[in-house]
Amino acid sequence: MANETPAIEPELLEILRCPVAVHYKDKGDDPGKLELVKGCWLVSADSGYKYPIRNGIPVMLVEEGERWKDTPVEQLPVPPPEN
Amino acid sequence: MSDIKAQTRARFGQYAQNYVTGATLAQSDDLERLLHVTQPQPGWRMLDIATGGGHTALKFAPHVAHVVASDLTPAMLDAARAFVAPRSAANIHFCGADAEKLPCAAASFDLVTCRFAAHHFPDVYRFAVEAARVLKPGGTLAIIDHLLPEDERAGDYIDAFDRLRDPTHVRAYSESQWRGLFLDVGLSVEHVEAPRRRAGMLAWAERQGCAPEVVERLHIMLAQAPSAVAAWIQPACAGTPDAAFDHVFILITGKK
Repeated sequence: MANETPAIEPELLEILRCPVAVHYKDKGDDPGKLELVKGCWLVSADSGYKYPIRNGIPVMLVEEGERWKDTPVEQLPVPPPEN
Repeated sequence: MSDIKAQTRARFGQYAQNYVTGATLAQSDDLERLLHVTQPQPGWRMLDIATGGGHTALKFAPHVAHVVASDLTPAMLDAARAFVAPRSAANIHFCGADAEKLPCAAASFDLVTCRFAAHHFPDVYRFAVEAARVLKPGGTLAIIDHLLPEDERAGDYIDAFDRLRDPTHVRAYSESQWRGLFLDVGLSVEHVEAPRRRAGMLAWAERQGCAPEVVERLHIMLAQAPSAVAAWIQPACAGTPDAAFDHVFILITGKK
């Protein structure tokens, strides 16, 4: 089941931002944009925070993003672990 | 994550299903009022903060283009999605989010709602700042929550009563405090109403799994309510299975 984690809906991706980087003042007019990687992670280039999409639900909590900050994109687990 | 937020997550993870099926939150009279007051439009994008069982999101979904339903508690989101899925609400998008650190671009939403959750927020001002930030100019913030009387001591007693039943209840606010908060974050207050709903105390305590000794203390607090408290919550039959009181809540909306 976990391998079938659906990608995020485009309507949601369009407005979601990293909750940390969205407040940056030095990253242009629209900071904190997210890129979908590996089909189940949202990565902010501005902050380096990485947010898991678990069972189709993006978990946009600062603690989650921070936890994966130092993990290189290529080493992010697929699917993201439950906890 | 603060202690109270971790505690809230744990508690609502445990009781998630009660909040999907619980009569009080599924009951739609205040949702009907919310719909009537906010007048959602077909092109609108809305955010429902601390969606809980997903009732507000589901109610509004047929009237708007998209609903983002957020909650701090993953188990709550799973329960809400399971509740919403068979009801053909394909335009609801679930998202884990902290109400005080919203993961959304500025000026994203025409409507932001938050129903019966603000009393759990450790920093309600931060929540209001964030809600205002993600609203488009002209957008509406609509909140339903417990309402306390203006008399501070009576309010403290009612808060203590609520916190005894649910330790993750941080605090509720009076109408003047809500109005002040809206103004502080740059929203003009458009509408305020304060409906009442009679609550049976035992069912209310059971939804949070209160131990017998806690229920006993709730009975005592109800029986000993000072006059200003009694005038507000109208307690009856304390100490019996028919113990009841009034929930007083506020529906307040403001425009950016």
